[in-house]
Order: sequence, then structure tokens, then C-alpha cells
Amino acid sequence: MDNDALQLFEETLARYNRERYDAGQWRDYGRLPQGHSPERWAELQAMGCFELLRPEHDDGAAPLADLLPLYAAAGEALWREPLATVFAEPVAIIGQVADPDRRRALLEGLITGAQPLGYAHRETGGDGLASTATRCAAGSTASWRLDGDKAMVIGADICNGFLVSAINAERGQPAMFLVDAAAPGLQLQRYRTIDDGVAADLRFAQSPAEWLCNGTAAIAAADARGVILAAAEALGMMRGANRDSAEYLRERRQFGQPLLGFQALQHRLVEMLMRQRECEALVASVAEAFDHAAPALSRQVLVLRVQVARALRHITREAVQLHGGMGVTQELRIGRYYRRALMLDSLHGSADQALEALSEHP
Amino acid sequence: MFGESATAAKAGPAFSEPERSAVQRAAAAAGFDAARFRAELRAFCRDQVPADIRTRMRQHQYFTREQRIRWQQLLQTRGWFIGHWPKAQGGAGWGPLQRFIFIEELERAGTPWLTHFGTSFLGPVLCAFGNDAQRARFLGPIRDSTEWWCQGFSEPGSGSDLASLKLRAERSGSHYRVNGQKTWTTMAQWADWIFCLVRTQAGGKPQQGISFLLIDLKSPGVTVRPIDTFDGGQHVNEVFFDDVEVPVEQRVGQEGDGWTIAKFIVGRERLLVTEIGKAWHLLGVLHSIAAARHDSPTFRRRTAELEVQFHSLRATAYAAVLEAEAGREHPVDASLLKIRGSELQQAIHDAITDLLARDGLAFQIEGLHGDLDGYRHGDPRLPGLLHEHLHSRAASIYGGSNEIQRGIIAKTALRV
Ligand SMILES: Cc1cc2nc3c(=O)[nH]c(=O)nc-3n(C[C@H](O)[C@H](O)[C@H](O)COP(=O)(O)OP(=O)(O)OC[C@H]3O[C@@H](n4cnc5c(N)ncnc54)[C@H](O)[C@@H]3O)c2cc1C
Repeated sequence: MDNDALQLFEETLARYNRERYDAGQWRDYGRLPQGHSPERWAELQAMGCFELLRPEHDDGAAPLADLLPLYAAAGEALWREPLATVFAEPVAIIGQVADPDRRRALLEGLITGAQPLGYAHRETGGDGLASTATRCAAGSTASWRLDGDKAMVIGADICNGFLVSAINAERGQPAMFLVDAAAPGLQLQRYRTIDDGVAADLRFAQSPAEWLCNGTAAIAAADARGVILAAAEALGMMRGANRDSAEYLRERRQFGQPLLGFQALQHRLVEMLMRQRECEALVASVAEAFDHAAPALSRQVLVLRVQVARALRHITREAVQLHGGMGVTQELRIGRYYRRALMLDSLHGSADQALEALSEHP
Repeated sequence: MFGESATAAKAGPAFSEPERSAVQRAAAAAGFDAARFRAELRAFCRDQVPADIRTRMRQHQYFTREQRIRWQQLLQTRGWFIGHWPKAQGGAGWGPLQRFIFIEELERAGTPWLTHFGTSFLGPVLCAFGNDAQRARFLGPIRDSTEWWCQGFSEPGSGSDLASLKLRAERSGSHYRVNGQKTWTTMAQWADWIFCLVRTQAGGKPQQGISFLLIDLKSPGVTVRPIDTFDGGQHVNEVFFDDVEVPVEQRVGQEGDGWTIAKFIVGRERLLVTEIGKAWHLLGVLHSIAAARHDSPTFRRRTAELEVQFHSLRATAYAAVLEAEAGREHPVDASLLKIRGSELQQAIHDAITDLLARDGLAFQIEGLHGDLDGYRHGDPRLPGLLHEHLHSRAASIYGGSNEIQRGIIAKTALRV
């Protein structure tokens, strides 16, 4: 996207947030049976957002950088719609599919909204993000069966299929499979999550599956993409939390003056703003590295994760504190930012986990 | 040392904890044996907690009003619930040290939080400032937990700047007519009575026109409205007063004594806000979760950091308690304990949540109040521990925020 297009896109998104996603609307969407608004989801598509995934050349990939404003808008207004099922991990995994026709067809399914996909990789009991105990076995080369459990799949309700990582008993290497949402032997359990969203645990029992690609590279690419988009979302949340906090302290009077007049509080806000600024710069640079398949990308992604996770937890924590009692109510979005920050750590790894990976990384 | 033994050893040096000799000496001077008292409390918490309450403790679930009352009454069968009241009022005349050990051990065992508003706040206020009629009317039901109290200090416009409060009480004959609003009132939804700071006089220094009134929440004109909080609970409330008539006999002290009484309340309980026993309990929880999971050098380092903070805070708390026992007060202590106590609690919750997050942060709120009917994702403690994590964010806000506490230290220690 060139600069003019980018600016226009950002303005469109800002208007969308003003008109479609105020606090009351946020609450109402959450009460719908899906836990999000199908109407908003359709509207995003009508706005052409899904088209951002269409590559310029048949064999290329659409730039991730173009998605950053979308995710920032989602972060700021705390969209409930499961963006990940279209924009995040599935795109990366589809990118690893060797057969060009199959690859194009799957991508087309995302772009047209016909086939959003759930990313079913994580499992419980391990260190959460890395391990795979789900088993796959081949009946014949064309027909595979999966057995095992996957945890906390986002957007499972709207998905027509799931991208599932599983280990082949003989070869010991993970691979990625596509399982139809209506596949036999697939059970789905829904529950609410800490950010007031909806997730599902999946259980596969001899569920038929299509082999897509080898797992290791696909999972790495998917997780990197997930981390970068989550960082863009986090940026939106930081902007929202910082703006709300500054406005609140400007308005709120105690001891006969606006709280913003106290220098101790000014410095707290300044620290929050500095962290936001650092993250803005870092997100842009790592997204660029991703789009150019830069060397040492995996380290850059880990650096991004550490920095953003820390900054977001710091900012959301401080925002709650600076709002006093109001910060812990359901009325303001400040508490929601805090809870969503916990969820992002849960989905993409905490700063500690990323720092550890960084220190062990070659 | 953190209770869930096998895991504690793995996480760091196991602390043996003989009662410190300074503590034993001070206890002996106060007429009790600290080690024996502690052992007695531990045995009580181990053997005497009713099964239904124990189940909720284990799951970190929310206790019902009835469970809390039953637990308080059980403590009072030993005279412990009001152990810190003067003997003349039925208490055991405990000093700050014995009271501290009592609360520390209850928290450490994870037993239900005692609703301090009656027993710790109003009881001592009535003993010190009330008249005989008030003591005769109100102390018994607090002792027996048959009347539930809540604290009406904060207002929408008066949080940190409490002295600016506006709830108006106008004298008319033998009554006050009360108009205005309190907010953030903890457990008002369960309370029978509220003690309030009210403005009986406008003008002058704001602190001077404040009085202390006891108000029956069933009085005509009182409305209690719950506030939804982000921890998934409804435990704070707005309380509205619309021309509520309050008999003059329900004023404690003289008109204008309200601020002095409020300061007395803060002073009395300043050591307990450390919640050191709760931190102890939570460290046990952290270790039990860590042991069941992949643990890493990073995480071991983090728990070691928490252990350092815990022991520093506990030592500081006991130093402060010993000072208080000797009738002295260090200018930094009270605020320090509030700040560090809340910070430690929050840091332990952060670590617990980071571990739980690896299996996915489901938040099935129904699980706070009993077993889930349907499918449960993850650890059965998940709803309760996440609720407690979120609630712990308020620990640095209520009871005088950490910013206000730092301001107090600046004033008293730096004399600025
Ligand atoms: C869970 C919970 C339970 C509570 N229970 C009760 C209860 O039972 N009864 C009751 O009466 N009250 C209760 N409170 C109210 C509590 O005491 C107030 O929330 C607290 O005093 C802060 O006031 P505020 O919320 O208006 O924040 P504000 O005073 O508006 O403060 C907003 C922010 O500014 C900071 N700040 C304010 N002044 C200064 C300054 N001079 N310098 C630097 N920073 C400053 C504060 O620290 C805070 O971070 C409860 C609150 C909570 C959250």
C-alpha cells in the first residue's frame, strides 16, 4: 500500500471503530451466540479487507505490512471477530503447501470468506506452544487419520476446517493436516476465555485428514506471522490505553486539581508513551523483515515478542492503576485491554517464554 | 516452606522457620507463647475447616455469605474472631503481635477472608469512641457475625482526596437527613449496616466538617446497586441515600470527629494490609503448579526473586509489628507494607497466570461458584485463580492507593 492508500485505509478503520465498535456495541456483540458479530464480520469483508491477502503475482504473498493497520484498529476497539481464521496462521501454512493449485484454492477460500480455517496446534500439558502429541497415521498416502486433542482454537465456530499439527508415529516429524469441521470423530467443546472471547478444544478420533505440508517450517512461519499480527493488535491496544489514561487524568480532579497536574503521574504516562513508541518502530521493522524473508527473522520475531509482551503488560497494568477504582470496572475498556493482554500472552507466549527461546536460539 | 512440600524443595532453599527469638520474647512479654499459638492455629486450619469450605479453598472458589459467616462463628468458638478487642468488651485483649500471627496463619491456610469492616474497623471504633448504649447495641452482633457491616468512605468525586467527601447529613430534631452517594462499597450487597463518613458542616477546613454515622441499610431511601468488575465479580457497590432518616444516637463521637475516627481505623489495621500470609499461600500455589509442568531456568529465577521479596517483606512486617507491640511506630512502615504487600501479591499472581497461560486462559466464570456442569478446560482452579489475579490489581488502589502511600512516606520521612 502506498502512503495515500494507507492513510485512507486508516481513516476508514477509525470511522468503522467510531460507528460500529463503541463500548455498548462491544458488549452487545459479546452477548450474541457466536461471541462476536456476524454482521461486523461480513462488513469487514464487504469493505475489502479480505482482499488484502490477494498476492500481486500468482506465486507471491501479499505483504504482511498491509495488515498492520487492520490489526491495530482491531486492538484499539477490541474487535471480537476472529480475524486469525483468515489473516493469521492459516495464510502462513497455506503458503507452505507444495501443490500450486491446492495452495491457490485454499487461499481463495480465505479471501472469499468461503473457508476460514482454525489453527489447531497448541496442546495442554506441555510448554504450551511447541509440543505436538496428536498422532496421525496413514491409511494410504491419500487418506490419513488423526487421533488426539488440541486446545484453545480461536474462531472454531465459523471455521469450515482446521489446520492441525500431528506427529507421524514412524517418522516422528510433525506435519500439517486439514480436517473438515464436519469430519467424523471430531468433537468440539466451546468455552469463554479471559478476554471474554470464545475458544474451543478439539478432540480427534480416527478423523480423516488431508496431508498439507511438513510441519516444522509451517508451524514456525505460522507462529511468526501470528506474533507479528498480535504485535500490531497490541499497538492498537497501547494507543487506546494510553490515550484513555491521559484523557482520564486530564478530566479527573482530586485535591482541587486535575490529576494530570501531578508530576509523579506525568512521568508514569511518559513511560507508557515511550514504550508504545518503541513498539511502533519495532513492529514496522519486523513486519518488513518478514515480507522480505530477512535472514535471522526468527530471532527478530522473538525480540518483537519480548518487547511487545512486556510493554503491553506494563501499559495495561498502569492504565488500570491510573484509573483508580474505575480501572477495575467492566464499564471502561481499560480492564478489557488488561484481560486481552493476558490472552495474547497465552496465545503467543509470554515475554519470559520468548526471552528463554531467544537465549537458547542459535 | 511453602506448604506443598515436595515442590518447595525443588524451587529453592527450604526455609525452616523456628519462631524468631525476638518474636518469642515479645510474645512472652505479652503473655502468650508464639510458637504454640501458631501451632494451634495451624492445627485448627488443618482439622476444623468444614468440608464444603475446604473444597472451595482448594478450588479457589468464591465463598458464599453463609460460608463466611459460619467460618467466622467457628473462629469465635475459640474467642479468636474478636481476640483483638479489649477484655472488657469480650475480647482477649491481644496486642498487635498476636493479632498479626492470627491473621497470617489464617491467610496462609487459604481460609475465607474475614470481613474486617465489623470486627476490625467498627468494633475497635466503638470500643474507643462509642458510648455504652452503642456498644451494647452493636458489639454483640459483630462478635456473633449476625450483623454484617460495610464501609462507606469513598464517593464518586472523593477517592484519594477523601476529605472532600460530600454525603450530606443535615440535623433535624432527633434525626439526621442523609442525602448523596457512596461508591466502591465492598460487600454492601450482603451487608445489614454501613458506617459512613458524612458531611455535617460545610465550609472551613474540609476535614473538620466530617462525622461518623451508623446507617441501617434497610432504612427507607437507601439503594444498593452492584458494580460489575473486570474480575467477573459483583462485590463492590454504589450506595445511594435519598432523604434517609438516621437517629442522632447513631452518630459515633461528636459532630466533626469523623476524620479522627477514619484515621484511627487506618492506623489500627495498618499492619494487616501486608497480607503476608496470603503471599505465603500463593507462593505455595505457584510452586504446586510449577512442579506439575515443564520448569525452566527463567522460571526458577523468577520464583527465586519472589522468594527474596517475600522474605524481605515478612521481615519488615515483623519489625513493624514488634515496634507496634512496643507502642512505637516507624514513619515508613505502614505505607511500605501496603505498597510492597500489594506489589508482591500482584507479582505472584502474574507468575501463576503465566504458567496457567501455557494451557490456555479459559475463564469459565460459573466455576467460581461451584463445579462446572459441562465441559471444563484446564486446571479446576483456573476460574478462581484468574479471578484472584484480576482482583489483586485493586490491591494497589483500595485503602489508599500506592501513589498516595508514597506521598505519605514522602511527607513523614522526608518531611516535605
Ligand atoms: C475493589 C475495591 C474495593 C473497595 N472497597 C471500598 C470500601 O469498601 N469502602 C470504601 O469506602 N472505598 C472502597 N474502595 C475505594 C478505594 O478506596 C478508592 O478506589 C481509592 O481510594 C482510590 O480512589 P479513586 O478510585 O477515586 O481513584 P482516584 O483518587 O481518582 O485516583 C486515580 C489515580 O490517581 C492517583 N492519584 C490520586 N491522587 C494522587 C496524587 N496526589 N499524587 C499521585 N497520584 C495520585 C491514584 O493513586 C490513582 O492511581 C474500594 C476500591 C476498590 C477498587
